[in-house]
Amino acid sequence: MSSPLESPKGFLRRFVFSTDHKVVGVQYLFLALAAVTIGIVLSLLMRFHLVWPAAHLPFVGSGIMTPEQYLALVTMHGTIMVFFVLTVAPQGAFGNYFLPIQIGAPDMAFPRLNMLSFWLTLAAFLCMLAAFAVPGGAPISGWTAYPPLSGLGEVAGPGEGMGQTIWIVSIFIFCVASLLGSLNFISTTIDMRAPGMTLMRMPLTVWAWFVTSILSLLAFSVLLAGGILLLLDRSAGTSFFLPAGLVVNGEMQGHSGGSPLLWQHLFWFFGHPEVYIAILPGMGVVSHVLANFSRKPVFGYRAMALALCAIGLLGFLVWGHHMFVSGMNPYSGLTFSLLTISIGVPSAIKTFNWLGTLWGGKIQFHTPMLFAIGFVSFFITGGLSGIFLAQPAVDTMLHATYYVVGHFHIVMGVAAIFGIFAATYYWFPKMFGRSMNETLGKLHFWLTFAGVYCIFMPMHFVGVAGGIRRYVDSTGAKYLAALQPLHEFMTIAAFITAAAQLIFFWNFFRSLRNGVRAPANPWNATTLEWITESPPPPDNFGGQFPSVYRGPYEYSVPGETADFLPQNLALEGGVRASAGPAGIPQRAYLTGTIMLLAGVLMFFMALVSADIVRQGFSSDWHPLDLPWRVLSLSTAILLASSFTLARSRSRLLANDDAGFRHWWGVTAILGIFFLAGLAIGWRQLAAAGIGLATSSGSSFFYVFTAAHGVHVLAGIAAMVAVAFRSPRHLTRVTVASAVSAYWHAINGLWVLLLLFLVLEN
Amino acid sequence: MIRSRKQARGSAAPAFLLALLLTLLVLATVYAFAAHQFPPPPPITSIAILVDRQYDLTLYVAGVVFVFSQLGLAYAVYRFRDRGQRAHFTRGNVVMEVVWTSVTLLVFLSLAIAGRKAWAEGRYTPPAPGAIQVEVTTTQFVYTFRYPGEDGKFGRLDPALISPPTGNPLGLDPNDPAGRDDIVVPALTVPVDRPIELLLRAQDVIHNFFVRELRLQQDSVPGMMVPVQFTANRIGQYEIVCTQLCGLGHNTMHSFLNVVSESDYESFLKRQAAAQ
Repeated sequence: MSSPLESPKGFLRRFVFSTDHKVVGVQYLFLALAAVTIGIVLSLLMRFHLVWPAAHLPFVGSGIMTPEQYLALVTMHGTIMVFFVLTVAPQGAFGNYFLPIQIGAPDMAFPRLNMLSFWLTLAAFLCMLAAFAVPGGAPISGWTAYPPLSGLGEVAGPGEGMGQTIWIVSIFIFCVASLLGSLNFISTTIDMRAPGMTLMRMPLTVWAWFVTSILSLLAFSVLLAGGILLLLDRSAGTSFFLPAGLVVNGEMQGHSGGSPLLWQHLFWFFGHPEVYIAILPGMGVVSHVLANFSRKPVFGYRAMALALCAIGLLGFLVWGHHMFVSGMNPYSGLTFSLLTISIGVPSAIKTFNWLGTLWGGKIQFHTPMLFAIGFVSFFITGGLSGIFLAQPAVDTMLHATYYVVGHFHIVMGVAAIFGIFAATYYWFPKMFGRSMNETLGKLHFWLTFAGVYCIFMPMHFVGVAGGIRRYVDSTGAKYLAALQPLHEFMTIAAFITAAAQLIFFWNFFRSLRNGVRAPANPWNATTLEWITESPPPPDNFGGQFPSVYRGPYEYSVPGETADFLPQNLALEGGVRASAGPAGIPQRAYLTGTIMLLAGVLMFFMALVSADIVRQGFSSDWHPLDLPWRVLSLSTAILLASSFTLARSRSRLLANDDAGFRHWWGVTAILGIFFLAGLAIGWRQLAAAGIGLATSSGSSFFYVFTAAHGVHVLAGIAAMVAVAFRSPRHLTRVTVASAVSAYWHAINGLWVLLLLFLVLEN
Repeated sequence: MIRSRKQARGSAAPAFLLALLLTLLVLATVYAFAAHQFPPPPPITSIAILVDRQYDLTLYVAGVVFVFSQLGLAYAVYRFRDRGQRAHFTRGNVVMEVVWTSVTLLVFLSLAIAGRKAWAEGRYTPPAPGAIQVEVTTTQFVYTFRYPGEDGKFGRLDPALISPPTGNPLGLDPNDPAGRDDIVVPALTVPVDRPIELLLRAQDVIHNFFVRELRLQQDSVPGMMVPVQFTANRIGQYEIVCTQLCGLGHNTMHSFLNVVSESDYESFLKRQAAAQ
């Protein structure tokens, strides 16, 4: 492993399998560009079909679109856009590239983990695209994949066979990649900041990426748990989400007692924070860009940072507003409604402070600034249409109509995309050392800004009139035909707007080669990415690591001749700090481990609450006769391993390497014994005729123990890795401490799980 | 300095254009909402009227905020464009921040609380005594409605007996006497001005029961029985559609709600009882 300060040699190591966060960021960006291109094409096919259903289309087999093809487009457009564009671009691409630079760090805390996150995300993307190619085609259950439709297999419709399975596997891989990525972001922000970079001196972009990472860590763990249960319902005959007595297409299904609403709770517990995962980085970028081109500090910086945190927190408390008409207890409707409305408060703070930042400024209309202002306009519009949907009574009229489609496209789709555009035009000179063409950039903005409103504003009217989303045509209900003129208008607007994106792609790719060479600081900006070369050297600062003396937005400070003061500009009379040593602080490993454990805990909490909800939903549950003797013995072994591990670490601290290795090995072997014990327990249970799908209790027992076993196995693997090969730049103590923290926590988790199983049975 | 003056000259056109576009957006939106070009049909229940009122109230509140903030944005970008001036330095204003936040909270929360009646009515209360119960069964991609018949009791259902081709789409158990007089029909007929309680079920996947004139969507969920109450006050035929993605024929899933006079309802029941 090369030291982070050197540039690795060879094309593959430098540009493909690179651990440099900047290369990884650009890789994420190109992935998002590929994904957004596909996503746009899918949406154009849908828009075209809605207006000219009899016309022949490219890419759709026979030429005339069938309902299953249309619904596959609905599913895949949503999935690709939400996961591979709105999650990947703002966080994966720009967060990766600029978070370390903006806090004055040479790289992410865990560069190799960072590379792994990208390659997993790419694998998830290719897997998702493969769903188009399998027999039956892509799934037709929408990006929300509600069971029973998504849980029954082919009998429920084409695309629900192999296509849906591949979809779940892809989402599974994506979740893992996002979890690893987010714990990396969090550790980097906490432990890698330059001297003087206090929390309240961090650019709002960094705040946004930081809060987004926390949301990702907690939300994707829950989706991961839900995805596993859905996959088991499909392939192993379990009944987490599938109730008894289902008759599908004339065929009686053998499930019993599952709760379809359980999936919706798990999905939206992820799904609503996901909306903020998409939009928060855009809010950060917009604050950053507005201050830069208004030549003013961000109005109410502290309130802006706190509002980001508040939106993040409230985002976890409002998932029920997606379920007002789902059959959920109506009393919870008002609670979720009031909590949802409260998100209006931090959102209003943001809007007000953006206007306050512009007010009294010296506004320079460069392309990124135009997109940032466009973002504010969309955020206002989409936020206000959300006030309707946040009220259950009004939602019962608008739910699942085009009103909702218009609302979320404006506030989470287009606003987030405008954040991405602002970021692209703003940072392109830094990332590629060349500038994008301003005239083309502005043309792109005018057409897109006007075009987007022409597409999505009329959707609100269609929705109010009762136009229903996810309908392949307007023949189902008589009244739908009257809304066709609006659909025609929107389709034409969509094609014009999509054509305008060609200007962007042309500008982007041409500027990569032919753009005007960019200076280090073309926008006269203050934050640390602008004090280094364009593009930055491999260690970001050419060995001259900055110290920070000021807040991030010191523009037009009275009494100063320059209208901007870089963050690393020393205060008058202050001592100029020497460049700090670059490298990854050892404590980042502990932070990373704690974050990993937070994700693991969230994952198991999702499973446990699923268990509780599932048992409450049906009366089909009865206590299991678990192999208590084997389980007790295994538990004793696992607890003993915590003591041997503690002993191992204390030998290490006493510089007794032989003792450390001895007890370390004993711990790993005890871990293997524990797994063997579990396997014996499973065999005993299976011999007694109790399999995975026998009852809901047995399903959860197998899932709990298997999921925990995987975590124990990971711990053993980490121990073996440390014993044989310790990374050169780390001390044994650092790694051993991180692994110990993980192991003790996993053991503690086992005790809690076992207690839960004892209480349950 | 030269660069700055050139920049200042260049900022007038985009500032004007942006302000113009935002103003046009406001005018077009206000006109479109005010003109009611594509209105929903008139409501036919007292709850639907409440929903409409709450929608209108929200429209006014959100509309005022929309107009002021978009026009404020338009004004700010035009008024504070780069004309070579120095920006007015400020880090914020805590008092304004607190006032703004409190006002937003107050207005929006009052709005949500004002809408509670439209939600609570028919959901927090048991159905009126004497409400007519109709069971609604959804399946890919049809609605089936069942009336309990003269005995007022629904017969037992057995999923194993479901067989649409032989005329038993619900799986009615022929051995249960309570089911003998059950009326099973593909459209919903109810008398005007009488409280109705629908019991929503699903046989295969999640479906939805949406009637625009009721301003009501409700999912029907397999494994659950979801109640829906309404009292229609206008005779007529209204469309029932599915709004929950349920598979290939989702958009074709369709039926009718016939609101008829009391006497027409009686003769409907008699006719159907004879036909079963």
